[in-house]
Amino acid sequence: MKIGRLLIYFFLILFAIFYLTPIYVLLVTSLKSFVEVDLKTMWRLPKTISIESFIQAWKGDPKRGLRGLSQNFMNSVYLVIPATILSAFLGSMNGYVLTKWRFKGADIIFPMLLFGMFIPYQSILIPLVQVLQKIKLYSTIPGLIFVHIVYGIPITTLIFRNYYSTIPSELIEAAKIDGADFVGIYRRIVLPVSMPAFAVVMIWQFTSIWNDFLFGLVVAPNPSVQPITVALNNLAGSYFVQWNIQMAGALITALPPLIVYIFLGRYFMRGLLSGSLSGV
Amino acid sequence: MQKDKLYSFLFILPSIILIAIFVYFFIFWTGFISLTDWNDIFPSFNIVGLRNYIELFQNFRFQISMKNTLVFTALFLVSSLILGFLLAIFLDQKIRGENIFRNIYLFPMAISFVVTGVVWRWILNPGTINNPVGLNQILDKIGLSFLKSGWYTDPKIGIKAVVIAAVWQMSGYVMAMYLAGIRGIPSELFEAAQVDGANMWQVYRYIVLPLLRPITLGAIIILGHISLKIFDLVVAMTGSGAGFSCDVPALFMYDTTFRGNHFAQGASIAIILLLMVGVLIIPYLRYSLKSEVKR
Amino acid sequence: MAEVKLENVTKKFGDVIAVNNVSLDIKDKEFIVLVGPSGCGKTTTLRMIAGLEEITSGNIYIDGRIVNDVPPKDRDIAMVFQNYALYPHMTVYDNMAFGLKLRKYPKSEIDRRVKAAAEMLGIENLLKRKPKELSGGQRQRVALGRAIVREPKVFLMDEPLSNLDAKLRVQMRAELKKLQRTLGVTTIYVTHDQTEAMTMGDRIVVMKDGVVQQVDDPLTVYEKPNNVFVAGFIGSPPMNFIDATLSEDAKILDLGSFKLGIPSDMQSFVAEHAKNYLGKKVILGVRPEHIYEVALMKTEDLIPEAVADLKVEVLEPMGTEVYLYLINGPVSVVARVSAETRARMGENVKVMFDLRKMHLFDPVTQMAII
Repeated sequence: MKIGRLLIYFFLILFAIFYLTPIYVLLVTSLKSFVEVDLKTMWRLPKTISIESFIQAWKGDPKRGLRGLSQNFMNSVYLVIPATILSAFLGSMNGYVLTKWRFKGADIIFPMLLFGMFIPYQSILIPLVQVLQKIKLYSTIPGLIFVHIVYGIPITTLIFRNYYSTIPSELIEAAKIDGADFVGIYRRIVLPVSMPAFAVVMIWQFTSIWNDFLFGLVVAPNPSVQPITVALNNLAGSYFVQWNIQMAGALITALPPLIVYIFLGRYFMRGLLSGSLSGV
Repeated sequence: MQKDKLYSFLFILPSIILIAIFVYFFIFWTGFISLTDWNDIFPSFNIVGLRNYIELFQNFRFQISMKNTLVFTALFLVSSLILGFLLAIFLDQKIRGENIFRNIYLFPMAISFVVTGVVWRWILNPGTINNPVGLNQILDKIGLSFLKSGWYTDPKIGIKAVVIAAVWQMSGYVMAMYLAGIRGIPSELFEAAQVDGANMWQVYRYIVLPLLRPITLGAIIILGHISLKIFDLVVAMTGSGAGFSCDVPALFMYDTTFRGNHFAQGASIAIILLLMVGVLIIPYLRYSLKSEVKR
Repeated sequence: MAEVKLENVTKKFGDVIAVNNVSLDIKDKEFIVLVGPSGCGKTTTLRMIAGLEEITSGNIYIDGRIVNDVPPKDRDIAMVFQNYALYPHMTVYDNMAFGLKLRKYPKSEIDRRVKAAAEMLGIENLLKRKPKELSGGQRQRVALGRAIVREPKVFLMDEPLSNLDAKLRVQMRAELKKLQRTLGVTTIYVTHDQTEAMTMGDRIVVMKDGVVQQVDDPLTVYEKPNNVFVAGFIGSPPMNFIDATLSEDAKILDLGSFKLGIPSDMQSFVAEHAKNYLGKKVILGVRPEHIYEVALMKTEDLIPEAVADLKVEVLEPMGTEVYLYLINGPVSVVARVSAETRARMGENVKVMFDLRKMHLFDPVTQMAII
């Protein structure tokens, strides 16, 4: 028994090391000065802490034609905030109707919406680009916001629907008898008790929109509107960009969702689990 | 009453319209494009039947990328499920610092695939025979030199190296799903099994595992569809690799369409990809929604 | 203050008929209880009166006005739900005030009504709390308060006491009844608990499979049940039913393993009221308290023809009384006797069936004969 537990701890710690290794590499490399950076010593701790690589990754180096990530970071911020808020509200409205105002055909509509969550986006990319070009949203941040709202509908609807189905329908009925109408019930009863679901949905949407790569790549080919993931990929793909700058860039890119994870991990976890359809 | 019904319909109508256009009509449109001869910059909609598909199946790169995707999916699913399950049952043994372990296992889920790809590209960089770097260097140090390899630079390994990074990112998710599942099993069941004389191993074998079957199914669906669609990670980590040894259909589609301007060809790849995902997802959606109605 | 009238009200869910052609006249200030087993349509009936469920056919009147298509908020009703349905994000005060606020009552009037209701219910000190900080009984009172402040024409209550523990339930039963008397508001109360129905209702509506079985005051329902279902549903332990044959001369009931003689002064009554059943099969219904242990009886009360010898299978002491589970051949009955009983488990006991209080039912239609 004692040995068994020891083995379990050994196994758990071994894998903790596995999961932490890339973060270790990210940190030690990005904190090294340019002179110290060498692939052969990648595992070593930095002798002196330097934030040179962060500065270069953020500001770029116009002399060498190196674009910094600052603009793209802000692009992602401008993109993620409205997209997250709007898609959360859309999901909340859908979830409210689908659980509390079930009409004929609701049973069909929900799986039809849900299916959109699983499709490979490659299967809609070509028409998407064509349409965005038509409506002049191609290669703009509003265009990207719009795309994320549309393709966020399935998951946000799913999470809100699962949450609202735990609200007893008597609550809605009591409000009906008290004299509230459709909008009144939503505003005065449903919204005020939706905060946990909003937290879950907004964290989920924030993370996935921030981390998106495909839409950013295809819908925003102009570097000045690219989100940070696309810019990071470009930075890391250039042969002349030093390794420590790449790592600093990766860390900058990973930071916002990591902060959310560290401070709001509980909601993040709930989002993950509801995203797995375990509630369905 | 009537007014409320109208409002409720108006509430959900925008979403219905958006999904109808941006999912269903777009899929239909992609399907249509895949039957045309739009294979350069200028749109052209002459129907050529299944020619794009026939050419596709004869295409060397497509064959490799299909094979890669299947290998990747199989390896990724099996390793993530096993690792996730083991971590979950070990964490369920009243472990000290369970929270810390759990957070460490799960945090990669919060990170972009692009970041994961960039980091693992360097860790799995093999270096040279005399100057091994990254993981190879560690293997040398701890006396496991025989495990050294060229990783993704070796065409024989190729996509399998990407599996390591994907498992790193997603196995924590599987762990979380299983752990939530185990915690959801009423403790009376464990106690009843123990009273019935089951040992720890038997409890997991005969009680926990069967009860977790829906979770396993859910995990297979989630990981499966992510895996079939995998794109960001491959782009950031390896690209299509030596001799396309790391290529996947999603990447092939992107290159064909948006770099090569072979829109009809690209559309046909997209449709094949959609069919693969559909085979996995549609039965599951039907199954879980039906069982929900029963409840 | 209002009358409520249901006229041939029917509700179908797809092919399932949940409520079948129900007609009811509920008087002003009446406390009427809908009772029946789960799935009998009592809750659906209540929800149709509330307007939460559409009516498939028929009419519902409140205070003389047809309300078939009137939304719940305009029916001037208030409802108390089984799980109370208190708004979790609002304080007790706001929960009670919500309906009045939506109806744009002046603040002072809202305040007056909420305080008055809170005082009546003894929850003045809870007004600032949220529902989750309250006990079950307190929540129950808040739910009542929310209904009271509205001063509606009709109270609708859907099993409001069933989430309370047994002791509190008994206490609230009396309090609720008293409250209704004081306020004088027409009340329609749904429950599956026949004791609640008996103790609270001015009249009881017994329902089964969407059909009203009997509408009467509690005592009448108990003493003159319309059919086997009502007879068995009301009363605890339930009435005993025994297959029997009535003799041609209306003197004897043959129970198979033994015979019972009908008291001589009852015979002409039976012969007249059950004239179509002479010499035929009937169902004999006897309540457990109408089977007496001979050893405890005064000799002048004894009617020897109605005595039988049955074996005691199980003996359940309930404190002041004892339930005897008796068996003789195909006949198996429960008798409710005094705690002084001499009966012992496994032994035989002589009991007398009080046929003056017997019920006879038609074995096919299950309807009461006498």
